[in-house]
Amino acid sequence: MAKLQWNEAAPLQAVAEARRHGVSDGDAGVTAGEIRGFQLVLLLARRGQADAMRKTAKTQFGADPGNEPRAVSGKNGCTMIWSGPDQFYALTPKAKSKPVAQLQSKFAKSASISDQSNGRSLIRISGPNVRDCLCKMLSVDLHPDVFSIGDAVSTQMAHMAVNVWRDKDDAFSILVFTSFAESLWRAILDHGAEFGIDIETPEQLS
Amino acid sequence: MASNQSHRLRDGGIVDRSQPLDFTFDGKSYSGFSGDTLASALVANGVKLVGRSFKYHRPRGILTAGSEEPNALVELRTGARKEANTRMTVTELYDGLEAASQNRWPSLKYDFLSVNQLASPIFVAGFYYKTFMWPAKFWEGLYEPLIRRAAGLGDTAKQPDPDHYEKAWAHCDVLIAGAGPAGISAALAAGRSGARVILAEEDFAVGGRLLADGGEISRKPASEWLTNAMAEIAAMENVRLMTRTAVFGVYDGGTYGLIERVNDHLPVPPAHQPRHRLWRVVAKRCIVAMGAIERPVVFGNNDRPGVMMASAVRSYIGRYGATPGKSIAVFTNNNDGWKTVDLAEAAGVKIAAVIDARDDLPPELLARGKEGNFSVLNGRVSSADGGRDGITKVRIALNGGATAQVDADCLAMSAGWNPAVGLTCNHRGKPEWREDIAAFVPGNCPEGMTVAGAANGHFSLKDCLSGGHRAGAEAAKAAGMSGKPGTAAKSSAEEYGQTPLWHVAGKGKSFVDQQHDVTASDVKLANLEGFQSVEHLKRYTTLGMATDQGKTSNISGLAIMAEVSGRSIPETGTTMYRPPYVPVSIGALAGHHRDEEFHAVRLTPSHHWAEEQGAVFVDTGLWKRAQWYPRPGEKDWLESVNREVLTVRNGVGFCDVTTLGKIDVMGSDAGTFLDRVYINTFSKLAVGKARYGLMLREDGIVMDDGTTSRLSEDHYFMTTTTAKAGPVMQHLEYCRQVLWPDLDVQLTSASEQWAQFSIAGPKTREVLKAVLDPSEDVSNDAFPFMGAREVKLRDADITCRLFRISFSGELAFEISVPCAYGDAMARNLMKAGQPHGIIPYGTEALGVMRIEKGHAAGNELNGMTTAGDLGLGRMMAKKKDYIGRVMAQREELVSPDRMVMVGIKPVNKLDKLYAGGHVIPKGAKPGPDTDEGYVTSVCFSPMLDQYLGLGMVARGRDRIGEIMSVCDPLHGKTYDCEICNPVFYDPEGGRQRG
Repeated sequence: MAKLQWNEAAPLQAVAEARRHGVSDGDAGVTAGEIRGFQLVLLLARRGQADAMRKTAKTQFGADPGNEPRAVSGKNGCTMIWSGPDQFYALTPKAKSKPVAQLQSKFAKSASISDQSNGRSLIRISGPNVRDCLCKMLSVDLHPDVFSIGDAVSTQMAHMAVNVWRDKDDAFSILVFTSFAESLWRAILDHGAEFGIDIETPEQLS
Repeated sequence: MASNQSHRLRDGGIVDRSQPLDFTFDGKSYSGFSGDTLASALVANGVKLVGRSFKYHRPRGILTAGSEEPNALVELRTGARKEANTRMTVTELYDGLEAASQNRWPSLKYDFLSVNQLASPIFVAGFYYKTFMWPAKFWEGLYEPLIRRAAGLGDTAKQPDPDHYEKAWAHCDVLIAGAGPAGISAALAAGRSGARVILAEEDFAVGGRLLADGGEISRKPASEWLTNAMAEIAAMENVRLMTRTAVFGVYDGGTYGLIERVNDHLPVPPAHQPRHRLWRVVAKRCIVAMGAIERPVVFGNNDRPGVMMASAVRSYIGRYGATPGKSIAVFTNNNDGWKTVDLAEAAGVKIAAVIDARDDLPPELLARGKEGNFSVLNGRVSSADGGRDGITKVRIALNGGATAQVDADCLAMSAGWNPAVGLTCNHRGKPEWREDIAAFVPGNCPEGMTVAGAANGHFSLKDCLSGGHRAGAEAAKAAGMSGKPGTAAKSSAEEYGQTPLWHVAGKGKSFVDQQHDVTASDVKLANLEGFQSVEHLKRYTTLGMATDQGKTSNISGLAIMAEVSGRSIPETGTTMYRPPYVPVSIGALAGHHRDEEFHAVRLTPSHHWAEEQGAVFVDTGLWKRAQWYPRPGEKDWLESVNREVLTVRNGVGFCDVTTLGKIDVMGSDAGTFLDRVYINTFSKLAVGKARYGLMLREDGIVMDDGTTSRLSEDHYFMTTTTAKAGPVMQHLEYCRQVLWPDLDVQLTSASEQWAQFSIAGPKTREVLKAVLDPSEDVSNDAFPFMGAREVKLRDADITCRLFRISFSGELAFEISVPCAYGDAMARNLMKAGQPHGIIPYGTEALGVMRIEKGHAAGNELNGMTTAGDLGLGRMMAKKKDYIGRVMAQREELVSPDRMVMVGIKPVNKLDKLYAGGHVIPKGAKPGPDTDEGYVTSVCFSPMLDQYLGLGMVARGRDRIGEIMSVCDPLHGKTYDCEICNPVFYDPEGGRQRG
């Protein structure tokens, strides 16, 4: 039999092609695109082992993830995103990531690890009107004095559960469940259309 | 075209006379100017008659110039964008605007149903309750359709709304409702202090009463102050001005509802822009500066076109440069009403007379008549004469007892002002009565709210400016700001000097609520009939309902009730004030979530592949699932489903079962945790094995079922039903966090990580061998029934999980691949399975096969059944405790008479079974006494070539073989069925273990 092809399909494979959406003249107010090629693991501290987990995280990911709603940068392009008390996501470029089994053995005593690399879609959204667009879906106050660079939140957007953090002044990352990705994508396009959206070619996480 | 604007003043106002706009009203063309409302443009054109009233079809004109308008409602626009009951007083004029009057036939001038006035004795308070009582059966067939045709205002669009609406959130330190002098002063003070401020104004222009009444601020014209203040506000980055935006409600935790009419002022919203936007504003503090509403006087024929609020007359003259009359009579009980005289005279409009009701009328006002060449009469207007095109004369009862009359084509009336307390009472606060102004003022406001200016009962410009400034500064401070608020603008003091006046007895109907045609006699009748409570008064007479929510009528109504029931006004009290304060479109409340976006949709990993195959999808909760895959030539769904079932049972098929909930249960106590959650034991399950588990609710009723596998010593992988994935996760988190925090257990949903496919049928192994790495052995010895372990795929370094479990009753496996490979898996199963005749099957075939096998699913796990009812009682472990164990032993839940799950098979193989039919003893008369069960699930079984069902039947297991009747009143049928073992197909289970 001929060789089987195992092509990866990203959550937004069918829809996130580069194009301009909404208002077409002038500069786009919003830029959005899907980020691919990442490892995403959820670490949940074993009972009473939260400190040990953070300690191991420091050696494994290069920084203390802390225990407050922040997205913390580590080594090898890793970002650790708080997702609840004593639990966080570690988001790493696939090329620089360690096998989940290896992480499981490193954190054996301190954390349970669930691989969610395929369970989420990662969307980056930015631009001068990014807050005007997001405020139609997010109930969170995104004013820079309140939600500054590196702040993270576990909330919902257009009734879909998401993790959102601020990368730059006008740039945010959004993690959404894979099965909801197309719905959220349509919501973003609908709500950003009045500002004009540049949909970027999907990029690999770096 | 301005030449035909017969009532337009040569200059004055803030309309732009260089920008004429054409519009039509009832098909007739008119023109107005940019800056007009539809109402002001009609005033400028001398149009007085604009609508017919609700019950009596009386001719009505424009009463106000604002949001509180009860009369001047139109159908705005046409076709799909037609909007009934639009208040023309807040409708911005645009070029090409089309509006039509309502509630008239055949035309506004000659309205057939105005004969209702002749029958007015029967249209009194409570007339529905009194008139249409008997016979009861006439209600649906006769009375209701008749009333619906005759009553109601306007006609709705029949097509779907082509525009879109959205919802948004905003956050601030200080939200200010209203941008009049008080609101603007508050915004300046709060903004200068450094607070994040949202200044919301319902109108399209800011300035409130300043726009009409002018005045002096800091010794300069008010307009100059307004320009400077708005320039300062525009320069402050921390202050956001939102015009066309009304605050309509106060909700919990400092959340406010605002409706922004983004594009109502245009014929069609620009591409990609919404018509309305609903804002939820979260604010630390809120300042209500929404001003006050002038109150009318209730007298005879006070609803005639040409009778208008004095403040509205000033708005039309002062703001829009259009006069509602050529000869205006003013009727007032306060000094503010006299401002109308000054303004009209300054604009060159004739004052016919001033009727001032106050006994202690200040002499300087009395003297004004001589200066102005009009008479000043001390008395009350008792009625207005004139027809549908407006009044011609007003009749006056002089304070001494004599009568007088004055020719006038417009009557400007003022009975004083009512602070706009609506929002301040949204949290059930009661407004307080202030005797000196004879008005209710805000009482105990919602937390974080203060009130400034006229809304607080401080009517003078001076007080509005200083009160607004003070409120703004205090709110900013309370929100943690330390900046300097600056000083308040100043204006000179004014004397309000009103004497209460509610009602003047006279000839003709005296209207309290013009929108709902409630008269003073209706209020009196309600009192006589015992409806004295204001809440009863409201329901009985409909006073204060509909688009205006009684903004011009509530207080007059309760004042009259107070008078006739011998109580004071504060004793009588007000009705409850609820949101919304102004009308809010349903579209805005729905926002993005309509049509296909009504709710979020979840797609399975093979969704797009299934679309390519032409699958028919079904909504399963939020999921879209392939229901069946039609093939060319198949005449209906049943034919497709039969083919799918037969192919699986005789060959092989696969189904995307990703929608099942998947939960990682991890930690050293995971086994113990599962033992407590499930009725059966999991701690002793060997690594590499799967087990069917059943969990109960605390009350002993079945909650959910599914298979759970042990992947390693401290990692279990649980599956749930599709429907209960969320609730089970919630339940487990509750158990972990609240019931047993001492256990070392970690939970997370893995539903989204794994694409899961069921591969079923006797040829399953052949297909699996073709997609798995050649090293994987899936023979019965190497991979027995209920086995579970990781496997590798052929031609790829991808680790998957394989489970030997079966829902169909066939030899079957479920394979989990990382979601990104779900689409590839579907394609490769088709490719690898082609030599074996593989097909994809949908949820219908899945359902048929599970019914043939007697597997309980959602229809049987229906929140009423126990493990015993489902035939799973033996799974309940005796030697451990688990949730639901004790309550499941309750007498009723273990009664031998309970309805238990059985198979149901029509005796006549041609009978079609429907779910929902009731099971009764053969030949019994259907009824509650003979009801012994019901059919839960049915299917056509291609294996048995007839319809089959599962159902719950009392003592069912003892009645196997008994012939009973199924009564199905919905389909009008009763037929005989045999009660049988629910496992219709392969009862020994040899196939799935083969």
